[in-house]
Amino acid sequence: MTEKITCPECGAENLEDAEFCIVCHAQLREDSTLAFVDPQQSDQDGFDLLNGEEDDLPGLLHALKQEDEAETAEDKSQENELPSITPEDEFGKEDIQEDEGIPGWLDRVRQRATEEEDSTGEITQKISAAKESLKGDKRSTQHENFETWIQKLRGPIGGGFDRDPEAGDSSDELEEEQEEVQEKESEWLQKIRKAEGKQNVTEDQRILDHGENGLLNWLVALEDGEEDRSGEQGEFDIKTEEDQESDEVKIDESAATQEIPVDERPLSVRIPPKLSVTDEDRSQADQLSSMILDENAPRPVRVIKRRSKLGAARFFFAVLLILSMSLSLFIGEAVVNQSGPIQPHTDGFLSWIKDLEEGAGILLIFDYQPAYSSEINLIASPILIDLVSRESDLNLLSSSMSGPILQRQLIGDIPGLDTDSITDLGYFPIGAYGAFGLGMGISADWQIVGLPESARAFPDGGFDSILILSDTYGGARAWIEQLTVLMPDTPINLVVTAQAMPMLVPYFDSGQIIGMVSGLNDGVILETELSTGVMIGMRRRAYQGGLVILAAVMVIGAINAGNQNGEEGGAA
Amino acid sequence: MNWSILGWGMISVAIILLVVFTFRFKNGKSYKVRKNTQMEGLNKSRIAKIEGGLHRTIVLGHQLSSSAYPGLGLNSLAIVPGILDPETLADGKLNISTSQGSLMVFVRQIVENSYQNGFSKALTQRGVNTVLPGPTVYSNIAGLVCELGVHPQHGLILAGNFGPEVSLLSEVCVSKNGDVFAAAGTITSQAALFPQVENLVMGENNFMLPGLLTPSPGRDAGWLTEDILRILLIFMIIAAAILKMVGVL
Amino acid sequence: MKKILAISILLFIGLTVLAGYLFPQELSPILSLIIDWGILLIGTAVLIGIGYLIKRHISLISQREKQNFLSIILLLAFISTIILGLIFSFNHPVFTDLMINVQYPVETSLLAILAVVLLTASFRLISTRGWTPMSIAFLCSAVITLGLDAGSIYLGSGGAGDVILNFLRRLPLVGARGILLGMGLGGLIVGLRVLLTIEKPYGE
Repeated sequence: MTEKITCPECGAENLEDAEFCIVCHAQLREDSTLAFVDPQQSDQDGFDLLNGEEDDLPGLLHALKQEDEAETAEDKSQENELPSITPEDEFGKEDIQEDEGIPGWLDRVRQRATEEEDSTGEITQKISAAKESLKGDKRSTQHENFETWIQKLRGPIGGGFDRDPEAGDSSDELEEEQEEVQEKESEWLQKIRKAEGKQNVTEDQRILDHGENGLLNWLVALEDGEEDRSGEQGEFDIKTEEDQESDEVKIDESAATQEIPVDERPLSVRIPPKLSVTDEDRSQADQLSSMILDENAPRPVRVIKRRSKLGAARFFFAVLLILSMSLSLFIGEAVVNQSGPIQPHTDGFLSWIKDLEEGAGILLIFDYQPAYSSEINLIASPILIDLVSRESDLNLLSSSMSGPILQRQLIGDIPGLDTDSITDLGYFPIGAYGAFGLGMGISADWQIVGLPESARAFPDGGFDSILILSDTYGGARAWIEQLTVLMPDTPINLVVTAQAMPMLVPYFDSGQIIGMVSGLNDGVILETELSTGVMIGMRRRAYQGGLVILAAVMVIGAINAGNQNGEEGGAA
Repeated sequence: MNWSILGWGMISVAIILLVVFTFRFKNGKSYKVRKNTQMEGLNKSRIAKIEGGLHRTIVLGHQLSSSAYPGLGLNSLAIVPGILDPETLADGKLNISTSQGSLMVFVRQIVENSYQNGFSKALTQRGVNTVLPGPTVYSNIAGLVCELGVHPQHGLILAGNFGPEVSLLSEVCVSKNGDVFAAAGTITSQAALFPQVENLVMGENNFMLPGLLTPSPGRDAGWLTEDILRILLIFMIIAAAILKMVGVL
Repeated sequence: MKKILAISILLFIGLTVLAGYLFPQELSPILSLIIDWGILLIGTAVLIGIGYLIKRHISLISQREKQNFLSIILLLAFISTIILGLIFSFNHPVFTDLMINVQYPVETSLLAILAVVLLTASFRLISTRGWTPMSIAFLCSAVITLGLDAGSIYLGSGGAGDVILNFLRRLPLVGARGILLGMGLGGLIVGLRVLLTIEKPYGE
């Protein structure tokens, strides 16, 4: 018993000396050079090869037969003597030997064919016609024709072909025909050969013959119900002579054709389609296979070191900050006098408030979040105390959701303030809308008929000054840009947080605002200049301590990062 | 001539350029934009999080429109469809969050429409959650801090109008070994995030993001128009400075 | 049909507001109306946001997610605040004190935590970013600005020292203005794309 090799791809058994798998054409050896033929391309080629007349193999056989008939016109009369074969005869029960291996569907098809006249399809009709012609009296002529056909298929290669000795004296004719066939090789056949790499190899021709003979045998066997389709992948059934003999095809001994010799060479000799694998495909395949292998590998638990380091650092800095700022609040005397020059915008604000007339109408716009209320309240308290002392008429407007409550918190801390003298203008979401509506105090000549009036209208204006309390650059800017265009004659001042101040300085430089105070630095200046008694100095000292710690930590962090990089570089 | 006429002139030039380039790019040509390394970091992070089945959160800022930073809110909405594309194949765990109700409504609409356009009007996107942890800035931050702290190795995308408080979110995410990509358009938020976030998009590069995620002729036209206007503006500033020095202005 | 209607409304409102800047007197009634509608819509959007919030926390509780007890606390606080606000009016001192003594300290505490976080982040600036020109510039600019604000750097009033200090104070603003110019350009383009319906960021 010959040893067999199992294909690594599909698991099919192959002969020992086979190089490629009989089923899937995978390589059985280690040679990696494979030429791959794109199946789509080959399909297209296949479609290109066949024209309308020859769209299937039986049709092709029939067409070739008709060509032979045209060439040998003198033999036409002999063909008329061939018995006509009816579908009933073809599928006659006497011709069919019962076989347990016949598929059920085939049996039903045959049964139907015997019952219906037009049940056989085109292919079957053509096959039957071909078979009919094969079984004709003019065996030699048919044989010659068939051989001619085979020679045509072989084409210019002129591969070996075992002639049946019964073929007779037509060797010279055959040679001539072969030459003709070589000249007139069908284009489609050339393409097939080219696609399958069979162009220039003598051995290929045998394989081709083998395969083609196998195809014909398969077609014949199909009609006689003895085709075995198992394990096919577009392959032809390879049948040895022994298999053919065991087929249940009954061939009339008196027919012109004879048993078709079969090439017994193993399939391994056939050149399989070439598969080209690029480096990228190979690397991807390797990666995929390594991923699959690695999928179930145990992995160590990922140690999260950063978390503990970050947590510890955060705790340390929090303690440092809280301790240092708390100590600076409670230790030492309160610093009243500010250090450093007064900024121009602060000077402008001070000038405005000192020059403000008594009883002036001031619009206070609250545009900050509760988180910044401590800072804003600290800075705004001395201003409000001074305004109250001048008996200014205060109008409150809010553009933040917590505005009304912030107003109460701020005003509640002002001593001597009569809340009845305060006018609450309400809440207007989105500062720009409120500012736009405030500035658009223009009455048109026409009105929209039927519209209800708003319960709360925008203020009509008529303010001596506007004071905007804001925590962000964006909020203050929205009000400034709307009001300076729509109410250019009304002076605007800002009370903002330290983070918003730098981006608002250009508005002071351009004259759009009169003055601005921001942060605890300016708060201390106000405390000094206005003498309102609000103690901002101690808080400013804590604020300064925090800033110094922040700057120091940044520098230490940079030095530490540099040292770490140096250690890593040294270790490397 | 006053400054408002100059402003209207810039707007008119922008409109003309935008329309012309949109039609030109619709006919096949496109505008190659400069490389953005932060986007590459974002793509890697997204791929890692989706493949790892980890949680992802996109925070779209606190304001849809603001006078100081116009277009940031709309720009953050424009990023959402590009981020939603791979979600049909992912296994959920994406939260889109904001603190403003109007932004939330738009986001919800985008999420539903992008899913239903791909599948059926009868279906609802279940893998993407639109979340409003708080109606104000700080309540939103407080709610998100809890959400991010629960799921480790989070993928966080910050896009839109923020304040400095956004650095709380990035700190929580980073401490849990997550990845942060920030396209926070405001100056204060960029300053606060700079020491913490490696993939930080600064300045007008924020407006490149929608086109990098979902290219289209209109966005290509916007890039080119913006580049042309920027060059025009630079020349105008230099000319104004020279005229000021000379004494004309 | 829905798309056409939405786009038509968008175009009408956007162009009307734009035209209102050019013709304020002629268009002031329409502008007032549009602003009123806008304020109503914004208020409605806030209510929608609150509705989303409640729905989210109810789903967290019902699905027994991690730390859902925080959602229970939130819902209880929300319900009690609503009830108190309905019983006592918005202007009542009880309600006002509740807000001032609960909400404001909570938000202020968040800012305090932010200060610690920023301190920690500043320590990690170079280790996160590396020694790049941007990180070095940020470091130098931050240290100088912090020193100036703290009053640690003082070169006397008047004279060259004052000029130098003013220059150093204003220098970061130059970069910030550059960024703002770019943001303004980008915002202009985004707005024009939406107005001209080249882009629909609100969805199809």
